[in-house]
Amino acid sequence: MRDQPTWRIWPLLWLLLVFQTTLFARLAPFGVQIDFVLLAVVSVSLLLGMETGAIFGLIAGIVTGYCAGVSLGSFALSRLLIGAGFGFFDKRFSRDNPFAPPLCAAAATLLANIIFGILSPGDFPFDWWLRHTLIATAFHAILIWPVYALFARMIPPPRAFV
Amino acid sequence: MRRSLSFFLVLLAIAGALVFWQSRARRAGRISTPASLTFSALRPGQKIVFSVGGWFSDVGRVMFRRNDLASENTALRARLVDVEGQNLRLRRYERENKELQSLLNMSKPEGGTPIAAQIVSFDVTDYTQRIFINVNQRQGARAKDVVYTSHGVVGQIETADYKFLPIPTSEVLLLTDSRSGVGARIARSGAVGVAQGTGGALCKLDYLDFHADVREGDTVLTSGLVVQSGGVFPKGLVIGRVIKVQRDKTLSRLTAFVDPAVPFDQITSVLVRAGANK
Repeated sequence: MRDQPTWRIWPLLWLLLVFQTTLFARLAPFGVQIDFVLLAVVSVSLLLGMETGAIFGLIAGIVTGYCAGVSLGSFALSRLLIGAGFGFFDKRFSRDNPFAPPLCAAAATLLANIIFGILSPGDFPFDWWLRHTLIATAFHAILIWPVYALFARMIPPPRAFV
Repeated sequence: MRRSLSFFLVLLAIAGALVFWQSRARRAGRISTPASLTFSALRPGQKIVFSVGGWFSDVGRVMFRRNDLASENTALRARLVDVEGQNLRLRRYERENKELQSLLNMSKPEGGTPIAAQIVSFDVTDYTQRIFINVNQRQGARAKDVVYTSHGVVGQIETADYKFLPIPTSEVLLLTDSRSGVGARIARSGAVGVAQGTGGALCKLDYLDFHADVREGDTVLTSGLVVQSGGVFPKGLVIGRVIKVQRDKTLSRLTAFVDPAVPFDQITSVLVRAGANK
């Protein structure tokens, strides 16, 4: 079997973070910022499994936390759990299953927001949190498709030598 | 399974160590080395995106709005004449104001030195409201220096000592961040309170007297009064306009919601009032 070019996920993470802190920062439908880095963590864990998903999730979480300036622990823990947790499903879903990415993106958004709600309950009002969670879940479930497609294209499945 | 668990625990320990490092650095008012390295790695890309984005935006404007440009140009010329007239009038007012001030022996609001800065990146999430600007300690910016534009107050520098960065960078906490608090005064009635960030698009004017005269449409200015540990805003800068007033008779509490004067999503350059907090 030929190895997958998994190193490509790191330049993609860098690129997503650059866009997340510049152009995408102004893209906030209904006042909710789309978290493309979270969608990248879900995509990587679904495509490459638990271990790579966990490492990618941890690094993405830490870096996002540094960029956010607050709640580094919440970012690191939530992304690590998402990367590791959804990595379990990589063998259960086919790469081409169109429903797996949106379902996992929605579940990951809920999980991340619940972790934030639990770890920093006083930082934001509940009604804001609920509205933010619902809108972000809906948008992430839709916008995972392009992100997942990008990662799936950049990391083709392992092939046998010809 | 056992291997996966131990692998997961190792990652968790690494995360814990980094969180501890960052929180210790934050408590000391610094930025940790990994955080600085992260910003150093992202900064060149952010610069490219901003410059390329600006170029595409200009090209797009020329291509799609070519027909409107002539009429827009005419309108802008007319506006320029109008603005020049306004400018002359304002200069006269300024001169008169200075004369009156010296006559009344009034002291000017404490100044500092204005430093021009450009915004280099925005916040990554909705949980905080910050921007990053391209000045730091070398240019004279310090933590708690006030950042403003011609519209009014933008916020306050939180950190200005990023190490390892290829270009100078300071972190500015916006007026709307939930950790932000500014001593405020209603321009019309003189009622004083504290404008606090809500984490959303508005600020909340709290600690007002229940019988204070506050109405929708009132302009809110900085009061110059010290708030918590960071209240070093000079007197008289515009914060925004009251858009809603809430009176809670049960708790005898008056709260006003303020729409900030600064369009945070549109500004690209700011001024830092440096050297006033020594």
